[in-house]
Amino acid sequence: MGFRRAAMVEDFSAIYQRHGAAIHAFLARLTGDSAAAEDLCQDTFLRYLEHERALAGRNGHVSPWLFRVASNLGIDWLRRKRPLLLASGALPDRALPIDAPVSGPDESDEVERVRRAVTALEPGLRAAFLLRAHHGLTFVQLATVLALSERGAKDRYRRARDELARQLDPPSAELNP
Amino acid sequence: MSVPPLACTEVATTLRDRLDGLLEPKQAARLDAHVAICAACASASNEAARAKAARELTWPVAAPAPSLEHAIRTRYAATRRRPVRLLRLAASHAAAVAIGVCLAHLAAGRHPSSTAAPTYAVDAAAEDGPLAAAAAAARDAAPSADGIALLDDEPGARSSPPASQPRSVFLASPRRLR
Repeated sequence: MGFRRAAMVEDFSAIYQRHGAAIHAFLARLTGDSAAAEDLCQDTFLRYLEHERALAGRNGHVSPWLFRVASNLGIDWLRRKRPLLLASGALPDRALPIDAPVSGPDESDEVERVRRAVTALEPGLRAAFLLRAHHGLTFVQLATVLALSERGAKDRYRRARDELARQLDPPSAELNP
Repeated sequence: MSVPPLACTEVATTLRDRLDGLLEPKQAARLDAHVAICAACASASNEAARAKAARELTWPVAAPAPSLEHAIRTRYAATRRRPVRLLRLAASHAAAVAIGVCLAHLAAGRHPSSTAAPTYAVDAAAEDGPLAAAAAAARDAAPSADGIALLDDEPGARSSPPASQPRSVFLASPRRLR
């Protein structure tokens, strides 16, 4: 292995150590499927390696770049998967079949409610919500990741959030005088 | 300066917007004015932060397999080698087929009684003369053009250990890149 390739592999190791867990967790929550999350996480970092030279020296931009690739792959996966599941009758309602939480039935009801509600969101809304609420992206970063204007990113996040609020908030928070 | 009053129906979203940093100052003033005089919305205002925290609860997911990083590297190595190899393979096969077809046509021309099927090229090569020699050469070259013999002289494979390794990577190349 040449010196340059060895250096690239070392760089990749650092990048993977820094971002791998977050990208994987994002994909696991976006798809609700741990096998798909691993596959898509591989695909995401494979794309990174293919574009490594172009991304070199852009440390601050690697994370949004990775989230962008992961979002696109995850949303594509969900859109491909859902019609198949609907056609096979595996989907009784609009929710995708999702992995049970790894901590099992001891997990609090509240967390389980949230998981179900987020997983029932339309894929684009789900990605926007997860990126903002779970991964702390700014709206500028969210716009980059979702290929939207900043205003478009805010609108999409807002739609996701309000949809969740309708399902999760106690009735007193939604006033209908 | 007077701002239009905020309706109760707008308060819930506006409260969330404030917590999410999405509220313009003018909207914030309308919200404050409304909450100051509406007991129900003042109560909702007190609840909004808790509701946001509840909405943003994360649920645990399995950690990625420890082998994932290695799997990514292996796939990357495989995709780096594949295109060159496939291209050479295709080129060598195409060349062999083209020579065979040319010879078959020429041979058929010399033997009007035969049908011009390419399979006769090998029979024609039994004849004497330069054409036959070329046909024999093409026939002999074909088996070595199966790609395996080409692996070792590939620049990317030169620094890799045994010749059998890149071949197995090629054969097992796990997935097509999207």
